[in-house]
Amino acid sequence: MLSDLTLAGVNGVVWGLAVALMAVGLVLTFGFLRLLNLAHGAFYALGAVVGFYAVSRLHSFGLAMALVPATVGGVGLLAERYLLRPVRGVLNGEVLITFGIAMIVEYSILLVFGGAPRRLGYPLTGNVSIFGTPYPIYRLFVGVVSLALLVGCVLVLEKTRLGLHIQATNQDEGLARALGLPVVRLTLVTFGAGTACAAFAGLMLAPIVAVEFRMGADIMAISFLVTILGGLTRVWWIGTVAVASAVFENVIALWLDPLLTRGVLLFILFAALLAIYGRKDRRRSV
Amino acid sequence: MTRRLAWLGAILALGSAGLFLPGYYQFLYYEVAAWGLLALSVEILYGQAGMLSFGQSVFLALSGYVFLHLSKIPEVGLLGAALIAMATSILVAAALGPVMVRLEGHYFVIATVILALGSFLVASSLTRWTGGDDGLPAGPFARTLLGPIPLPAVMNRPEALYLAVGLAVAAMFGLTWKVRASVLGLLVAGIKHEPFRMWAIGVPVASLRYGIWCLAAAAAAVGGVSLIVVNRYASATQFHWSVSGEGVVWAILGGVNTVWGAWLGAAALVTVKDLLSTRFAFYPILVGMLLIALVHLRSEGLLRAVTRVLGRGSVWRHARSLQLQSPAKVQLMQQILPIEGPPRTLLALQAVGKVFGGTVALDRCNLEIGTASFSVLLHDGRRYHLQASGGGYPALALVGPNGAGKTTLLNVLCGYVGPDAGTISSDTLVIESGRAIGGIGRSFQEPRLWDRLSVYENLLMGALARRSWRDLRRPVGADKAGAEAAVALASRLGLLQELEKDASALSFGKRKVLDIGVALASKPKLLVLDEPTAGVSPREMTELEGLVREVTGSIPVVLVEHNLDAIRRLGLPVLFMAEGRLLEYGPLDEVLSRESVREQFSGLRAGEE
Repeated sequence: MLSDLTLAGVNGVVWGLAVALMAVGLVLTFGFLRLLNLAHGAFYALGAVVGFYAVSRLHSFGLAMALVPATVGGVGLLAERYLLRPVRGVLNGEVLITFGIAMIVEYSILLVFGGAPRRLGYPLTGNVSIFGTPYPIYRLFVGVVSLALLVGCVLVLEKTRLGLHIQATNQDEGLARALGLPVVRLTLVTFGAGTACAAFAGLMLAPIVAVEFRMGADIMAISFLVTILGGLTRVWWIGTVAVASAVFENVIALWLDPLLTRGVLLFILFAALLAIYGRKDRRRSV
Repeated sequence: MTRRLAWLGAILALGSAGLFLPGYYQFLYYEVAAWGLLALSVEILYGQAGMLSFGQSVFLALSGYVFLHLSKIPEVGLLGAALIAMATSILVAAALGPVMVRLEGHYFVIATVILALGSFLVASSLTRWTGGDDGLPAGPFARTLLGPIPLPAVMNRPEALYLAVGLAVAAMFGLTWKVRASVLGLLVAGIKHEPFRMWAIGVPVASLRYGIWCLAAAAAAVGGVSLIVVNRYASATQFHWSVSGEGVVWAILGGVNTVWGAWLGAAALVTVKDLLSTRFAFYPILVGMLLIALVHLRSEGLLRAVTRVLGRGSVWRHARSLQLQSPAKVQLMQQILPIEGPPRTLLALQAVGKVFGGTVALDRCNLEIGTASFSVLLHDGRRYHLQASGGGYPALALVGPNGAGKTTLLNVLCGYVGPDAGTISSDTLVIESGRAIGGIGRSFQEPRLWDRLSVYENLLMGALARRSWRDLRRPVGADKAGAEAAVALASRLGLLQELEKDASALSFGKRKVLDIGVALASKPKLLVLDEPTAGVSPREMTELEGLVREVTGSIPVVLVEHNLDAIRRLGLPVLFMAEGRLLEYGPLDEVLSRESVREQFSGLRAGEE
């Protein structure tokens, strides 16, 4: 029992860090650009599928780790430039466009990749022993890489000029523009980076979860919730919420059906969202 | 009576029309009718109220499943099952509603996505009840109608069930149509475009949104039952937010803010879906591309393209059909509620303070505003009374340097922000936790209008803002009092020629006039004006001054104004504020000559002379 709990805890931490990686993508697009990106889950699935093909053709997971963010990030750049930029400022325009992109991407995957779930083999074989139970090294690797990327993201946002510009644009786009910041290009780069984050998370999780066209829906919803609950742009808080909710989910899943667990988790986070943002009087600002 | 009959006839005709179609098309007609309710549900929320929802599929699927299970039980009966199923969905929506409708913008969208996704996951896991992704077949249906009442023999024919679906759908259509044409519909349209101003003129925004949310859920709930009857099948995937997303695309394709559009869009795309059924992956891709194209083209949908050719919407036509006479010269007095009875206190501020993040915006302000007099207690303890002259009403101008707290004081007067310290009381207005609810008209420095509605509708919005719940369901056109008030007001404001124009098409000066007009139309007891003459051309300035002069004779007024010449011409007493304190009171030139004011105000005074 104790070892089950520990395993669930470790699994939760690993999964939570991966969710946080997804959420970092949302920090960039939703937090900083205030763009409700409903295609985030689709880009995650696209990352997993592109990774699947890359690994099966090139036989190198390392190469895929470079290739996947680059290609899917490129798709994100194109989407921003040609689909989203023209409707910036149209009420709900961006939400609808990203929903359209999600439909196109997900069902294109269905057409090409097929509907049957497939799984990528572990690129790192071997186990470590946790309380006498073998635990795949690859999962720990996912956690470590995700954590490294979180740290990297925070460093870029807080220590570099690019990060400063992104934060400035978020706080006052008009002023940023007036100061001569390349707001249009910053938006492009931020969206591309957000997309690359989602794709990278998809690739890293491809050996752990089933790869299929609709794999992005739940993780997208959870990352939206942890992003909002963590405070939109506060990466550390978002990471904490992500890990905490993932540990909770994994522990509960010891007793409940996994689908039901995830549904319950979503509703708990949803209730938290309503409790915080659905209060009276928020709108009465002048 | 004839109108009622015509409505009934139309509903019967719509509901039964499909029965005359051959085989497959008969099925398609009723399938589209049922799916159209999902699009209608989205349309009610998004098109009418501006709340984009991806969660309507939940109410559709939930009522569908409840009906699927109950319809097999003879003790419940078909009708009983349908009623319970719809009630379940509506009750769930009603329980979620109070918090959902308070979420703003993106948060509302994301909450609906999560609601749908969470429901989908739970439904998928409860395979015993839902059949999971593979779904469950419906039936065999019970042979009873309601409890012990047996099903009439004629109901055993498939056409009879189709007809029942058709009638239910047509009834929902009729209901939505009525709501859209009612006072409620106009107010909801106002909330969509300028929720804050709606709240400011006294409309219970959250309650109306809640009503619309429940109506939308009802549409989806009827749709859910109808789909089971037509398709005889339900699947957990119907909970998924992408199903709602399809509804969004149908509604947009058909035409946002139209009622027919929901079915037009559904008809177009459900037909395509059926045609592509062997290659079902192509359909969502097509839908995605179509949606992107529609948004990029700023398309208003199929039906809007038609109505654009046929002419403008119905609200103004109704008013014209009333043949209102617009008198050549209307006294503004008549449009404003006469303040009757003995003098009353409208607002009494006692030691009111407000701090914004460490900055003191208001520091122990004492001000009493009554229908016949104002009373000011200055920061140093001097007290002044302002009596209305000769049967008129008191009026006061707030002056002071930027950051003096003038606008904050106005916002506190209007109840937009609650005070941090002190008390606010009234013996005429409703005060809730330091905020006046309704009864105070406010114009804004930057006009806050419904830009995409006509001038007439803008004024009507003000006039209809505080109707009772009973009046809300009546058609806009039938509200003669509101229409008369709006037209008379337009006549006085010199906007008669522009009644049919969109508010966005007016010049800045006319927009400011209209902004004051909207505030007046809501029949306030106190009018609060924020820089009524700022930023307008000299000629429009004269016009606005004339308006303000007339208004100050008809109703108590508090205004903020930087234009000292205008205050002098209007002959208003001034209250001088600085650093959140009420410092001086008196006629303008007397106040300006005082030492303390000169110190604080020297820049402006030098510029003025």
